[in-house]
Amino acid sequence: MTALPWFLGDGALQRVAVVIKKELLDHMRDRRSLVLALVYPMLGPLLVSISLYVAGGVLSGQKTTETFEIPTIGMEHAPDFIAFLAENGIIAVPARGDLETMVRRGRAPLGLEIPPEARTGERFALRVYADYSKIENLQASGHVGQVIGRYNRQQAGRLAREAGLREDFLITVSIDQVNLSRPADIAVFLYNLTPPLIMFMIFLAGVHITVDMTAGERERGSLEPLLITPIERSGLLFGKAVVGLAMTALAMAINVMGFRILLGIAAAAHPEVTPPPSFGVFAAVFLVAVPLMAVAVAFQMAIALVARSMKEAQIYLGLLPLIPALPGMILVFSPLRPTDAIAAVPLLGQLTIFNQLIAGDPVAVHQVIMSASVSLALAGLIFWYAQRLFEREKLLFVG
Amino acid sequence: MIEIRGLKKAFGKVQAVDGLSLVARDGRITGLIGPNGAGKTTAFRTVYGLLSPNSGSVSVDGTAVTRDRLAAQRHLGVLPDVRGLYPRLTGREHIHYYGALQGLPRDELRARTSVLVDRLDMGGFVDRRARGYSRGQELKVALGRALVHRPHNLILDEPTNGLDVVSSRAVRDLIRELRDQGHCVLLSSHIMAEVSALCDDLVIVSEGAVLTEGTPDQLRERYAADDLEDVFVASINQLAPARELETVE
Repeated sequence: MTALPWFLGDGALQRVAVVIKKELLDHMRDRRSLVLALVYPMLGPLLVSISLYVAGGVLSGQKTTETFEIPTIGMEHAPDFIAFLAENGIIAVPARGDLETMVRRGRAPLGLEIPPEARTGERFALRVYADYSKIENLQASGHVGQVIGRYNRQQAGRLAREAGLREDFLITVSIDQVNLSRPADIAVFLYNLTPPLIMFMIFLAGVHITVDMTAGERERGSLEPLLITPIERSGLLFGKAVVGLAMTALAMAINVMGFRILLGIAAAAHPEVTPPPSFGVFAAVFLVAVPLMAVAVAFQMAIALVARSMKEAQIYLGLLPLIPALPGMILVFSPLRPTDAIAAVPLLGQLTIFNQLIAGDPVAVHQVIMSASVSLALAGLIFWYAQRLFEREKLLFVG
Repeated sequence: MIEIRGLKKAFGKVQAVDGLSLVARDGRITGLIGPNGAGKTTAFRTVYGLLSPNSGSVSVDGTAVTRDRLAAQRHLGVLPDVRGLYPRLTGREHIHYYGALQGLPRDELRARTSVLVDRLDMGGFVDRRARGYSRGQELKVALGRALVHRPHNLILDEPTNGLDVVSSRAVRDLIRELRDQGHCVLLSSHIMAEVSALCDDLVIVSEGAVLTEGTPDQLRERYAADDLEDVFVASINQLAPARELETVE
């Protein structure tokens, strides 16, 4: 007698539906599953959005702040210089305490020390105290440096004029600095961080529920009575996989849309910040991720069926998301050119497509299809292996 | 009817069942008793299709379990030793889940569940989630789950373990009632008083093989003992000298 595929058996799909209904009901009542499914996916979007909000604020401050105060020692030695600074929005104020300590402790972005010889001569060495390890200090020092440069050029011109020379006689190289850094660049960088974080969540979202439905079922002793019911084991595992996939998809929908909504809110707070890609782009990212979710769930099931306990399975699967996320982080700094060969590599293909979508680059449809097909085939292969593990007699005795 | 013929099952070097044969007939309660590690659970697991025999055969109502596991399982209701309830499901949902997996239509499932809830006196807790159930409540739900599809054959592992006196009596009455309706009941228990009160036929096993079998009266007569506990001890001891002899040789 030739054995039919399990799903062609009489009432096989109805029994799968029964398993799906039960697992959904069971896990909807599990507060831990729900927290993981609904709250966990928001952590990545929150992290990136807060970074965007803070970075946008700091960088916007460079342009919007018209004046700032700098503690200064020896203001009385160079009143013209102090006046010039004030005209350019830098208000020198008497330093109350040691400048080095003030700057080191972050009480001032930088400090100036004007030597007494400034009173007598036109040339003096200005000491600038700065802590370049802080981004906001970099902006202040850059601005002060530019103003001092202008003062220097003005003085050099005056001296040259008084000596009967051309005003720019003493200036051999003039620097015309064009500052291209802007909040928008930081925003784009942060948007590019979303693909590896999405990848991380794909492989994390379903871990708890998948482990609970497999290793957990075995550990609490409910697997044995379940296996005594007349349901095909492949059908039973398939029903559980469908629920794992549905919960992963729900978590990923929250994750991906969470990125769009929170990044949109963070970007809207600063007019200079480039807005995030559209909702459509993030929806496309979600759709491209679906075959990978199937790979993740199948893999989680296989690992949970090999593991001796729930705890062991959770340890293995807790580390799993790092594997796809790491190449994603590398691609943020060193993007790959999208080729057919790369599209055909699961994970890498999706990462490249995510990056293209987020960057607003055109995406080749055939590469999307290729990437989805290969991933679905891989998911099928891993699920087939998980089914074989689920058929083993040893299944009941592992642990 | 459940038939086991020459069943052998080993796990690595451990021979868990070694040529076990028994027949549990319809309309009779057959007790399978033996010391811990005698192979009872392995034999049961082979009957309900979780383990494949190395040799020998197992059939349920004439269907070979190895040939058509699902068909055999449709004729079986099993109460395993580990009850295995889902803490977040109610007792009623457990019975519905198992009934639905057996293919019962929704209306029939509801009606059947109501009958079982009354019969097993589960009304006070059946709509509460299983987390926090007493052992007795767990057992009743597991029993309801095993009986929901009206199986012709029942395998009951320690059916009154954890029950109070009143509930134990109710479960025993239910088992007798099922026997009287013509069901085949194969049970395992460590409570000799229960075995004595319930079983029509007894099979005593040790080291994976049958030591002796018969009705309780036949066994008492064979071992010249007044109660089954003495029969049990005598049959086990009968094996021990033989083992010692083998060791000397």
